[in-house]
Amino acid sequence: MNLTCHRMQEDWELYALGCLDEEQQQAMTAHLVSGCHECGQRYGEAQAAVSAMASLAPQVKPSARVEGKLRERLRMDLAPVREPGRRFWTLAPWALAAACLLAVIWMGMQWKLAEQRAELARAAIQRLNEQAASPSTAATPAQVEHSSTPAQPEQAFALKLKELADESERRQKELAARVDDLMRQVQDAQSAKAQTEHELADLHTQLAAARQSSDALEKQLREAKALDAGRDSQQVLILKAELAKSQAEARSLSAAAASGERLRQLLQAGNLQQVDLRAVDPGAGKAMARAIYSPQGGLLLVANSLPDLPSRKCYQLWIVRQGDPAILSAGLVQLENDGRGFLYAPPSAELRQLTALAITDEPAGGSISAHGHKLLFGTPATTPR
Amino acid sequence: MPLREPDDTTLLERLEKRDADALMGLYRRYSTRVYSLILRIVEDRSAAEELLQDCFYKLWERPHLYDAAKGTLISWLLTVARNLALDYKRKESRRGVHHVVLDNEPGEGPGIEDFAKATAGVEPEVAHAIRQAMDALPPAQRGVLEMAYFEGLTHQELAERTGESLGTIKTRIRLGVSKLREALRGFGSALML
Repeated sequence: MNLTCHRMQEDWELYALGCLDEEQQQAMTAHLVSGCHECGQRYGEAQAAVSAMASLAPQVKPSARVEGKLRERLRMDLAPVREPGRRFWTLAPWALAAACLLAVIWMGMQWKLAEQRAELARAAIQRLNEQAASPSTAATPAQVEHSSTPAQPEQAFALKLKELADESERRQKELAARVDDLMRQVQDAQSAKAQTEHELADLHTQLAAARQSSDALEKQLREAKALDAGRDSQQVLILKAELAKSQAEARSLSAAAASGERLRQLLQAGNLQQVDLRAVDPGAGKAMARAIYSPQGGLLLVANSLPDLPSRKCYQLWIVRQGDPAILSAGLVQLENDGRGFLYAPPSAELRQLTALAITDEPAGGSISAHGHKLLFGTPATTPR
Repeated sequence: MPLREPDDTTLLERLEKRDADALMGLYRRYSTRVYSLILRIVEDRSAAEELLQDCFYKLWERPHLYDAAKGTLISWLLTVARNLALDYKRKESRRGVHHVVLDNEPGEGPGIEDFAKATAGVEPEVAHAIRQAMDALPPAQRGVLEMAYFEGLTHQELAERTGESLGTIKTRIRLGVSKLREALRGFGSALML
């Protein structure tokens, strides 16, 4: 777990609820995008709990018309995409093809009827010609003379039939020509239809490509935002580190100022004694300390070159005195970053009985009685002034 | 032998091939839960129905936005629905529109009193566990969670509304969500929400 993870670990619940401010939300998104497994897991757990809150909403069924509307929306979406001005031209080939097909069927029926009529007429003419040529049925001149009048209607009928047959043939030819013409139109319409379908397929392809481009752009935008957020987050981290450094310096200066003030008060109080503490244990390294005290002014200790302690340990100052108990805590030494330590103890009666001072290492927070290593030790150098 | 309903994965595969019936299958499966959440947030039936359509249409238009590796489909749909509803509510709020419609209207679907009936067979144990966990929370903690989830308030807005410090609000949210998480732990991967 790095610093970023540590800083974010308590905020995944708020992130899952979406209730952080935008800057924090973006920084955390960027961190997730960076692929941190541990944080991803934390977020996943928080997200599952947050999503489950939806079941707190009273369950209500939507009306049936919503389903109908959605289905209609999908139907419209699936319908071929057409530009408004192209609508007629897209529909026209279909309509034309259908009309041509109907016309062809109708003309086919007419052609068949005409053929049947022409066949009947040809059969009738054939029968009449056979009758006219047959000797048994051939009329004698007398008969011809007598029957000249009756024979004229038959000839007229035969002529009429011939005319009908000719007319039928002529109409047959005309219809055949028109059928050819319509067939050509059907072929043209089919070509136009194929062309339209081809254009439509192109449009669908272009639409799909446009959607893909749009998605890709959206993704890039999200990634860019995440990167920006990440950069912002880095800058914030740097600024925070600088701020922490400045605050530490300010604290150090403030402590030094406080020490100066206490030293001034001590000096004013008079009757001062000094204790120089020396390292008495290898663990103390080159550490050394000096304490100035007076029963009326309190005790001020300044230490130098104190070795770094583990975070679970601290330095504690003890007063060794003539009395019971013989060893009393004077407090915890406040450490600065550069190995310096300060301690101020308020005026007390115990300081009158002080015979020595000692510094030990104790568990963090300090001990009631000294159990740690005696690291520094010193006795008063002078008698009270 | 009755036909088995196709699972979400099958329907999603069909949906990616532009099968409208697949989307309608998912709609019939999840619309009540999605609609209920939207209605709870926007408190307007007509707007909730439009947003419900938008939510499923988004899945139709961009099915690839859902990533099965990151959670269940219903979880994704509920997240989308919540975002749509909160966006709508913020816009309405800027326009100064307020709706107070939660009673049954004639000819409409069932109302709040049908909660028990509607939830029957829809992971009732999950809903029950969440409700129990929420009921067990201190009222202040529960209130903050509900305002954050259903009203989409940020932690700063929550602090302003409740008069509490930002730290207190964050702590309440953290603890509240942690307790909900604990309540759901037993459901594991079978958790449908």
